[in-house]
Amino acid sequence: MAAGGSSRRGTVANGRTRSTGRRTYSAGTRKAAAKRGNGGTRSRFSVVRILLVAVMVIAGLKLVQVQVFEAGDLSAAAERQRTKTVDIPAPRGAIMDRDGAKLAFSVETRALSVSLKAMRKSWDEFKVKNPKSDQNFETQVSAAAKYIAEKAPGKKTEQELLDLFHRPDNFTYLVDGLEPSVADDIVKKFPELRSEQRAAREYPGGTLASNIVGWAAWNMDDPDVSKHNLRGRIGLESSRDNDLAGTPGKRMVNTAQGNDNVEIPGTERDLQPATAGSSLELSIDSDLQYDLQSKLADYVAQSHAKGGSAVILDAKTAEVYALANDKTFDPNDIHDATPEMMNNKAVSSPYELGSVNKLITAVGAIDAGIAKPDSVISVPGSLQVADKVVHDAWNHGTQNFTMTGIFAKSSNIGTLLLAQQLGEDHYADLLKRFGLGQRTGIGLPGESPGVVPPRKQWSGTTFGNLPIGQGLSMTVVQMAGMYQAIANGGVRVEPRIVKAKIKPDGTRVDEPAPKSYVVVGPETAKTVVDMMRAVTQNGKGQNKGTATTAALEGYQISGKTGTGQQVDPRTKAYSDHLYNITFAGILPADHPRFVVAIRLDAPDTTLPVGHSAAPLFHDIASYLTQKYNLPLSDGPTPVVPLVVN
Amino acid sequence: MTAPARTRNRRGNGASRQRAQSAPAVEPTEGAPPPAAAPRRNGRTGRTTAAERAYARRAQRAELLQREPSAEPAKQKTKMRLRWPSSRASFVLMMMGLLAAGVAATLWLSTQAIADSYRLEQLRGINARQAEQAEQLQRQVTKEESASELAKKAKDLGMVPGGDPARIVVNPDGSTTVVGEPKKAHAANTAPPAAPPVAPVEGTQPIQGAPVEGDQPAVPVEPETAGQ
Repeated sequence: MAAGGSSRRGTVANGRTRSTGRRTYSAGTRKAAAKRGNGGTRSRFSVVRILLVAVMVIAGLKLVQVQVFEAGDLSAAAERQRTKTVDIPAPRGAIMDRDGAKLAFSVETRALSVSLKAMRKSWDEFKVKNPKSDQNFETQVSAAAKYIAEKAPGKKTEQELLDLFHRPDNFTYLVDGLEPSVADDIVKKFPELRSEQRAAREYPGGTLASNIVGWAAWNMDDPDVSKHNLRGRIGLESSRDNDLAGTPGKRMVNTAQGNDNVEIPGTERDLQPATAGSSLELSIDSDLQYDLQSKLADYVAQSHAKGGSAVILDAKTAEVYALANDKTFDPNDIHDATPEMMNNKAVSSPYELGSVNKLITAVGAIDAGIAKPDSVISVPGSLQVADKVVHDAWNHGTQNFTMTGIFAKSSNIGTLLLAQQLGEDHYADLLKRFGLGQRTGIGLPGESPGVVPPRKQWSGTTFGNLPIGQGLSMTVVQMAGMYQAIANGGVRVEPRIVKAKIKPDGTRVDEPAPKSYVVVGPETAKTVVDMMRAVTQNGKGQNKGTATTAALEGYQISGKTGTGQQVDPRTKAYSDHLYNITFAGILPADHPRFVVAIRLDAPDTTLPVGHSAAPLFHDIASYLTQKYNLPLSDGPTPVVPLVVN
Repeated sequence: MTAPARTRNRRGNGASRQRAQSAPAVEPTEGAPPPAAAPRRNGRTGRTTAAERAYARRAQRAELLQREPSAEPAKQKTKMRLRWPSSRASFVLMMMGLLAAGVAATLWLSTQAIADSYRLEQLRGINARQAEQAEQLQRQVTKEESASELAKKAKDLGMVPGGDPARIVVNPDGSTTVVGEPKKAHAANTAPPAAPPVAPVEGTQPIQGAPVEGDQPAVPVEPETAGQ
């Protein structure tokens, strides 16, 4: 009804328009028309207007939905379509010695891989298209194998590569560790191959300090390819992996033609820059380390020992200058390494050290004022401890030893007599102060705290054992730590092997300072160091110490020999032929600079080199004095009486 | 605001200035009709058409008069004004020119950008190659100067460790003392630094199986602790 009315009026209006021709309505006419037009025309307009508004509202709502709620998803989808993210590998930090010589560093390499499935398919298609062509999968594969073997000598032989190409798999890696330019060249020639960015770890010293540095290798365990990286597996590479590794970054590149391989140049942008790993500076001196390793290995071989470990500490700071085992692995050739080689026995294998432990009794007795170095003590030929009888290693009747003589000649009975005066509780306290039974926190993985029986579990004979270095065990580092304490005026500093972390921007972050503990007063320490010089004394008659071969012309040496009985694994009792031959010494005794500790595992004690580690100490000390230009001692060690008649 | 076509009697600036000088006399009465000019009036405004035109002219004169003060510096501004398009055609031409220049500049810039990015790519390649070369050299140098390699090379040259050197100490009075005995270094494959012959401590007898020099084994009084 309304529609009919409006159309009639519309006709009228149109008639008028037509009659007036091209002229526009006068103002009055328009007013009149507007007054009359509140019927059908307006409602038609309003319907259209409402429709338009509704469309606008819908469009607006959709706009809000797209721009606000779905914005993230949609733009991500768009990004995916036209961009790809490329991982930027983070270079792994190096490991350096105290002079900055590199012990481990990373180099960029490439690995070549091939999708065998795709390659076979494309050659099948090629065959269908060009049936007369000589080229096929086989010819291409043999050409590639030949070319790669030629370009990368020493990696894989041509035959090995051919075998890889003929594997029934869909995908295979061909060769790893290529230089980037070589890999690029190969891929240019054989586009079926893919080059993958990798990094390899170089150990220029080979076996040099490998027991400390460890080994890192390319890790592909993670299903996310972007997380593939060098990862430490052994040693510091493993325990300090977080510092060394760095964080890989991401870069975005626009691609064209919907193909990820077609990159538009100049569109790269870093989403997240790669942070290079930090480098580690060790306290190791690589020259000294090399010397110690080779000397120890030689000595172990000559003495027919099962093994051996040695450590050199700074007498003041307890920094580890060298830490060696007789056998170690070459991280560049890890496949030849045995688990035994990879075991860093210097920190992981505690042992019963024997008489080197008599130091604790000496320190306790001097500190408590029980005796002075020149006090004379009557030592009987045997001593009853609980239900056992203890002898000295050589038969003697009751003899008058000076206190110095008891340690210089390593009398078990004399030591036990002093220890008994000291008392069990005091002795147990000293063991704790010297850090025995506790990890030193040297900074190497797999460190053993050693074994010290808890005070509560001591039986009657325990105290007949501990003072002479049996019934408790420690690592060679802990053994060196005891001597470091007295060399440093009675202050024991925890040994450390990592000096500082060097961030990628070059800033140096020193490792937290090691804890130090006061074991005894400086006077006691000085007295004990001086007293222990007699061990290397080569006096007349009975005034000979146990380690005359450790003496070094021009330098005063303070130290102690030790022979600890090992437990025979077969009989589970102390063996009468397996010994730990140990030595710990301070160089030079008057102005201590270094502490050296050595342990030989079950050498042939019938050999001259097998019953004492003192000659090895002499060689190490001789090298140290030359390498560090140690000034000579103020004078020769004064000869003191050891046995008094 | 342009004056209607009735301004045809206006002849340039000079004329308008002349007229403008007489204008102030009329100004006060602006807006009010002159008393003597009302014979035929328009229905709505009460003026004749001629009067209306006269008013229009006067309004125009007044307008000109208002512009008058700026007429003098206008001579200098003419140059500026000439630059503005005086016709639609020239405006369109100018716009087209601008557009063309813009398009050309954009093209040129993007070409440059792409050329630069290719150059960047090229330089990156060179950089990568040289970095690789540096890395390779670094690798070689580090390997050559590592302690193990140096020792090997020294050995190949027939060098042997020096052993214990003798040292000369200069005393405060200028005299010298030789500490130690200078010895000839012997080849590395000879016997190790001499361990002196086994010398049992005088007046003692070693217990069977025990090492003689060095130290004596601690006597195990507690075999049951074995394995601790």
